[in-house]
Amino acid sequence: MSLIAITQVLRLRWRDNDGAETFSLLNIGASVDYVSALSWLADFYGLSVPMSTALVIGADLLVRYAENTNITSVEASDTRRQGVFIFGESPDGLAVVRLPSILESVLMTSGPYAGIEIDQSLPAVAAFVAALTNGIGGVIPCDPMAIDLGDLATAYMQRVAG
Amino acid sequence: MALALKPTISLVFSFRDNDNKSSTMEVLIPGATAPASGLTYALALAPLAAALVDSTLTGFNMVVGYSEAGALVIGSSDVENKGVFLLTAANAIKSMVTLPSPLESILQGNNIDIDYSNADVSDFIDAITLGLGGVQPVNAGGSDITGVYDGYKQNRRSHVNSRQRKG
Repeated sequence: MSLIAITQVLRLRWRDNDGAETFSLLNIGASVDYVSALSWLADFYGLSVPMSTALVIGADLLVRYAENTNITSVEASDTRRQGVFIFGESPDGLAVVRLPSILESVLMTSGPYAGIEIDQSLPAVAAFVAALTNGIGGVIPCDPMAIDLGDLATAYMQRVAG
Repeated sequence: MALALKPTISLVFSFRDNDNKSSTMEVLIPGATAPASGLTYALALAPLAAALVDSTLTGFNMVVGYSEAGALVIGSSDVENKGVFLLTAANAIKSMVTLPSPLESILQGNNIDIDYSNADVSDFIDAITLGLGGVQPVNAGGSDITGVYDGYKQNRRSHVNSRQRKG
């Protein structure tokens, strides 16, 4: 079992004058290089716009990877049980990463926050947090304003509806 | 009107539990990141995230996005009317591409069938069936698109933003 590249998708996002939105999707090969893929995205946009009365409000290249085998998750798994990792310091600089179906074994086992707080001393947790705060290979995650996440402020388990 | 690169690239990891419920983890990286570097990062982060969950990591998307940077001025249009192009592929599996709110001028006199002789339409079809710059569009299975076997206007439900939808 492993993640393999599947077809890349070119997606145009359209909106009409009533505010309704829809997509146009076109697949290109998984092995197409990104320069060519982004060039095709621009062409897809340029070829489509002259034929429509709606407006393209966005264009995306989706590089996709998928599991190549059908894996059954363990019975205890529950995507509503989420690990919440909050980064940053000032209230307007906070950012969150949510990890669905976090292992209960990475939660604190004693103290007032047992079963709630994520144990940051565990190596697997520390490695995940370091990948988000320090990055890997020069790529450092950021918040929606493209500002580095900063240090981890808190991490806990939260059950969400859905 | 012009599309501008978004400030961030989105990495969306998908997880599925034993009840077949799905959920995602989204991590953003700067928009100026080279896509190849972003992919390397995503492939490195995936096992670190998978080690902390008991659901299945079923895959991820890296979304390099552009958005309209100007004021949104939209003339009379309806994205639920779509130009539908039904496509054939080398592996004989059919697929389609849709064009929302097609101009009446690209339709035939019956206002349903798409007029392949229209220059914009033929350019669009040639690009999809012959490729551009050596890149050939494919169906979801990765097989080259080889032709268009039908094209018509059809009303198809849209992804609707209900807060803005009128009427």
